[in-house]
Amino acid sequence: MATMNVSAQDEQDKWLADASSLVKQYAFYMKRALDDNNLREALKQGSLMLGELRTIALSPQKYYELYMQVWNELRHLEAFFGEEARHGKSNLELYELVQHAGNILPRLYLLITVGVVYIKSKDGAAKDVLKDLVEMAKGVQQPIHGLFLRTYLSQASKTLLPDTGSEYEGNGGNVNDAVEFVLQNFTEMNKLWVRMQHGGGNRDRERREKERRELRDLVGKNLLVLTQLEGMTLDLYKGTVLPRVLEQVINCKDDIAQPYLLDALIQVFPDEFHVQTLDAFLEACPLLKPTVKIGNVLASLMERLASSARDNPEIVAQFVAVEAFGKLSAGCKSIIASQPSMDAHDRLQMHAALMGFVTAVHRDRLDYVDDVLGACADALNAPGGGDEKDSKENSSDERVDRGGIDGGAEDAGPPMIVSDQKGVRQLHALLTVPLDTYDVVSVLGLSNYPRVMSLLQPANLRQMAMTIVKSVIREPEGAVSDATQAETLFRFISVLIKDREGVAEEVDEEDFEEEQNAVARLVHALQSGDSDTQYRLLVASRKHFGQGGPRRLKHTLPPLAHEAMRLGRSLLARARADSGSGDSGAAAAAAAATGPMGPALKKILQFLHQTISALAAAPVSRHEPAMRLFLEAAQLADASGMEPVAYEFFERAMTIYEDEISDSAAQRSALSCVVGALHSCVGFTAESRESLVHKTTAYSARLLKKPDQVRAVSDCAHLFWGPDGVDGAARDATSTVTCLKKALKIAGGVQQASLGGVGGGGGDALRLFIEVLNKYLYFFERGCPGVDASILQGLLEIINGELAGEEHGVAPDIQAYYGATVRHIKHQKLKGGEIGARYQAISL
Amino acid sequence: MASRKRTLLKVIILGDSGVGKTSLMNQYVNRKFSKQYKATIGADFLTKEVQVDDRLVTMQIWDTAGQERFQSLGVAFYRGADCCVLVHDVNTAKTFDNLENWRDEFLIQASPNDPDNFPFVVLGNKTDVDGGASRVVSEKKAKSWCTSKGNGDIPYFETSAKEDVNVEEAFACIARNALKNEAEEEIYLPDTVDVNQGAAKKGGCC
Repeated sequence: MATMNVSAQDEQDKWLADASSLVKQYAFYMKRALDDNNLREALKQGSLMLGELRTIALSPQKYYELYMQVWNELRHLEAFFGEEARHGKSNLELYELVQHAGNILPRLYLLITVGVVYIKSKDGAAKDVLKDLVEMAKGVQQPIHGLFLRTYLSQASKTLLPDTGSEYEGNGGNVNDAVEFVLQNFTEMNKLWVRMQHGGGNRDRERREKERRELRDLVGKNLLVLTQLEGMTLDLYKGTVLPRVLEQVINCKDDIAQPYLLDALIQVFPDEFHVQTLDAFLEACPLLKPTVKIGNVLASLMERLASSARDNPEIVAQFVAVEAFGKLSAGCKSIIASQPSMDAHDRLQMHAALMGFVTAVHRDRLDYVDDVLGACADALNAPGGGDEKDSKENSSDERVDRGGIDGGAEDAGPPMIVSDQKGVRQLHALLTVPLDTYDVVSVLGLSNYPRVMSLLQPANLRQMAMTIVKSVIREPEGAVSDATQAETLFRFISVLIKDREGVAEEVDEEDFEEEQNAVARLVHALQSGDSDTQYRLLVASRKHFGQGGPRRLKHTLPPLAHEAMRLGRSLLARARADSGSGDSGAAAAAAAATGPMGPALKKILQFLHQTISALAAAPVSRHEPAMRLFLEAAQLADASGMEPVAYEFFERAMTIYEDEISDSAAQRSALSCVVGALHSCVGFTAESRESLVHKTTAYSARLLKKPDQVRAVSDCAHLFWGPDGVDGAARDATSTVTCLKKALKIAGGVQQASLGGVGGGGGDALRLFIEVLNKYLYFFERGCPGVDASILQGLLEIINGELAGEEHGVAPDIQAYYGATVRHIKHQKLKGGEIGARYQAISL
Repeated sequence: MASRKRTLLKVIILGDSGVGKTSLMNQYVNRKFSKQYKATIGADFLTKEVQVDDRLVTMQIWDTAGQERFQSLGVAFYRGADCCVLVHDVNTAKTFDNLENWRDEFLIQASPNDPDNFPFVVLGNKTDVDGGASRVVSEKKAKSWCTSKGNGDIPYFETSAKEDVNVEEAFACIARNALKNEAEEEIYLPDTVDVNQGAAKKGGCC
């Protein structure tokens, strides 16, 4: 088969080359005769050249190449015809003379060429000459020959039509004559084109259809000529052009011509015309052959109208004025009714285009969106059309309605399966476009949205659910603002939130992570200005996420805890504002607990407890986040005056620390979180506080690495010396000093170890000394009793000694660190006041 | 053949659907603009007499269908072109990206003798839209594309067919560049040139 095609191609090339070289030869002699002003000889050579177009061996594309070549050569002849002085004949004489050519095809080409000159000279009236030519062209009935001959006529006459404002208007006729001429040429060409289908047996059908498809633009170009007429008004289009074209399209009953010509009609005429003639166009659609994919044509009309509404907002008013949406949706229905065998994909394409139209034109009509979804669901027999049990009347009405259109077809069958890629894409587009245009939650609340979504196969549901999630995330905060909306949303995305019962799905790990991250971000989109509602949103989310299993929980619970924390803090801020108590401190906390916000805060803390515990219990390594969340929640509880809860949260955090966190770096950083959290707490009883502090200092001293111990233990000093000016803050100078001394002692151990020859320890010790010095300075400035100048002086001397004894030089970063510390001391000395005075005792 | 010395310049306009090929041609030839969009089917030309320096030439300007489905007969009309105009819409990045394809396609189908020196001209159209606010293809980007192709001297014009900005200038440049290309014209020599004309003429039957 392949070899046959190759050889057929080669044969075509050879035939074309042969004909082409003959054309060149005849053209050469023709032009030489023209140079000699030898009309008779030029006509003879010209006829011979044109005779090459009589071939029936070439495919349309090859024939077109030959035609273009001949066309170029004919320009020389045409120019010569126009110069009467050179050949001495009048136009009329020429017109007579060329009729002597022996063969009809060359004769008609010559006749047209002279005709052009004849019209240009105005000796002949354009409308008469053109009518004559278009009639005479009927003499050529070989389809390819006829189509190209008429293309020649159309091209040659294009600038000679008696169009409005043209120089040929008047004596040459008017725009109606021009339209009549073009329509006649169009009709004849379409007949030739359609007739090709019926020549020869079934055997050649494929080749013939291919050839016909190649030739289609020749027929379609007549429509282009019409639309380019200056005098082509809406009335002329509506009254003459459209009815004549539609008549031709319908009557030709041809599978290739019908959709092509309608598509061409849509594309070449302006939208303003289409809007005003929708009825006629839509009425014609169901009259086409049932095998024609008319849905595609209608879709292309709607796409074009939608895109023009986007580019040119002024046209929207016209669409509204003629009720274009109602007409188009009725048109879709009647086409589906007239083509019961239309496949799912085409049905979807049509409705996707209708949806595109609605979103482009009616940005305020969500009800239209629902109409389109409903029509699409009906067209694909999606379940849930009308409430079957509740209102028998309605559904029977609907059945009657449908019966009226499709001639009493049986009840809707099973839902059509959409599984091909293109169909899925269409379905996806149909569901996505409104999400991008309207408020997401309102779209999801439409009664027909779930019906259309139910047409998706399970495998494609995930993708659609992701689209929905992403759309919600893109919306401004607060897109989902009450529990009902949240429930709706979760229903649509349940495929992402929990495993389906009895289905073992294999989802790519990366996809799964991406999905869960998106779902996690969704939490932040659920926002209400009302705190009770906000709480209910959290509870609703928690309920759904709870069904997700550990793989999902680790992604979905942390953002939920953060949102709960945020809500708690905002309640707290309100409680403080209401009670007029200070920003922080034990009194403010106690006031919050007993104030009107107390119960709400308590509920949130319970929610946090339950949520973080679930996260901690999930058998995946999410311990550190859980621990940090407990600490954060503990601070919230403390500030809310709920001491036992705060204590419980600290205990939970510490249990996680003890049981689950074993990496030394992780331990060090976890401890610094614990210290930070505990430092800010103000509401603990002395006993509780002591217990927590004790544990923390014990953890610090037990860290694996000495330098970590130094840092953690010196951090612990803060636990005994709370923030300034906060009531309830710890003030235990003795323990503060104990911590600092202990840190210094361990640093000294590090120094000893380095002297013992453990490589590289010297720099470490030095750095630690400077760090501890800075801690001392902190407490020194705050006037902590027991932290005095003599201790600082001693520490400075140790450091200076170390610096001097460093054989290999001191690392630049340590030098810089120490330099900065010394500068700080100098600066403080100069400051004056109480602190300056204190610093005076230190000498550098 | 002095009487037929070259006075016809063939120019082909290519580019994606909706960039304004037809509008540019209509503005240049007919001094008219319509904002209605009408697709072009197949190829269609208009002619215009132009003065290039001291020569009067006829420009045959071929407008083409940007939509592939309306180019069913192929592109035999590319052949013999003297200049190819590539048009994009400065407000749509894709139309600019596709210039590459249009140029390649033209060079393959028209197969000029010296592809690197074949004259192209690039037009960035619709500069009027939104007062330039929706523009996405910068002048710099377009110019840099022009210097990266062939021998690097493709002229670039920013045009508005709607407001008749730079259209005349662009086509003047197109005509000039097309005229430079004339050396390429193919000269046909019959296999047997009969000095004695009479004999050669016998076979005809007209």
